[in-house]
Amino acid sequence: MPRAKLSLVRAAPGPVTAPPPETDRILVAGVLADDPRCKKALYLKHVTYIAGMCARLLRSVDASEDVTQDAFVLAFSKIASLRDPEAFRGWLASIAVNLVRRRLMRQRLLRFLGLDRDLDDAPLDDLAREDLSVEARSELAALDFVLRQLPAHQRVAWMLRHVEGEPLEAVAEASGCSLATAKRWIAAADGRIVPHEEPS
Amino acid sequence: MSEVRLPVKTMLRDTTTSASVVRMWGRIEARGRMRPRSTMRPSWYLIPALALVASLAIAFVWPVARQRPPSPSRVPPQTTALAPAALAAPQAPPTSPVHIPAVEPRPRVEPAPLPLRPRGAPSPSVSAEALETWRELAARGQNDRAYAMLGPLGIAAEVGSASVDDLFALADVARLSGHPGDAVPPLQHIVSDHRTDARAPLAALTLGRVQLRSLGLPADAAAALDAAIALGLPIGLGEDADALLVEAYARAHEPARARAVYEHYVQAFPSGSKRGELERWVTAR
Repeated sequence: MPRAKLSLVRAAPGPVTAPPPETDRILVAGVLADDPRCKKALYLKHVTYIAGMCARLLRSVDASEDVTQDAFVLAFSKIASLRDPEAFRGWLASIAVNLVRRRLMRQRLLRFLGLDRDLDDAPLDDLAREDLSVEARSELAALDFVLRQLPAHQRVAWMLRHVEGEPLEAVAEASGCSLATAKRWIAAADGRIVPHEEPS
Repeated sequence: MSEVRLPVKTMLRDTTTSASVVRMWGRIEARGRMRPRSTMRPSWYLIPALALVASLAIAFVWPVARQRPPSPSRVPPQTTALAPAALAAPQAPPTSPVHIPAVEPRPRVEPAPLPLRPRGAPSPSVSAEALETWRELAARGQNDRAYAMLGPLGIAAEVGSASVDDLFALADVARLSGHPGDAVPPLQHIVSDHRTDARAPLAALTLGRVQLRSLGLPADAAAALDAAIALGLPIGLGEDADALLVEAYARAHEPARARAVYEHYVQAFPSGSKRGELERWVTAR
């Protein structure tokens, strides 16, 4: 298995740019009261984050749309079980990540059996901004190559932490595992990805 | 090389377009309308479980019941009358004439005719329950189970009589369970038989995308995308349709048409996010 030598700087896992909590609380209450406007507002507020995250995790824009739809449908059907409406974004992300993990595992099995017909239309280098240099694109391609070789759970955990910049607690929650397990998965992925941090 | 030092996420563009946001919301709404009407309906696994119990009962209990000697209450009246004499002295001549009551022959009872279902009547309730169950599963996002419930030929069988909502749901079940080929008949049915429905352009667009991206049929995809544009797509979806059409024509080895659609795209969406990508399709291929 190749080890990538990358000079990409990881996303600083800092505070998540969460929307004002009272807004989500009000919108969730509206959805519980069967107000379609609140449902749409909640969707519009979070769809970009969820769809973008899914596209990066799945390496496919088409597949990310499917997963995003499923995540919202599931979230709206189970919203009564959400204990803390302020945590809607994290809860929705954990639903989406769970669907992504299942899809990645199924893809891997189908690929192993030679039955996978889905196209990965969005590897990281294809998602690159248009103004990036060739060097940066090639590093993204190398990172994508290494990430593709990782088991689904390690890849998802590493990307949530270092690409999406989620805190470890959120990674563990979204991955459906303990904090220690999330750290172990990220460390295992780190073993394959050796970034060259910017010299201080 | 300064951008190389940027965090990975800042190097990536946003893939979510306004068109995709509108498209996804339309599908979420359509699936939301199919919320199960009652939560008290039997779960999907009850039907095979009950069938298994019934099979076991028939296989094991019924043969045992048949071999068991008949209980006294079940002995026919004729046997009851003869038995005491035969048991008391089977060899000795009878001391007194045995009274054998005359047994009236039982009137033959004609079996009641089975209720016949007239031709064209709706199918039995079992299939109605199965239909309800795949809808429930699809509404909950369990598309793999919904597809398993419908069976390999189930989607094609449902297409003829399904409503537009159901056709969209059937296509979603097929696509999202990893069977994009089975999504084609319901989407084609919407385009051909429900052309006046406001969602027909959306069905044609979805059909084009499935044929292009999942099935590798660029020529068919181009036809479907042409139909989507002709049917009148909402403004938010025009950019997506044009972009897919350029790719479809380019991959179908029709560079002149790809170029024509690309030029239309550039005119209609001068600052379109897919311009660079489409230029590669019309120049490099």
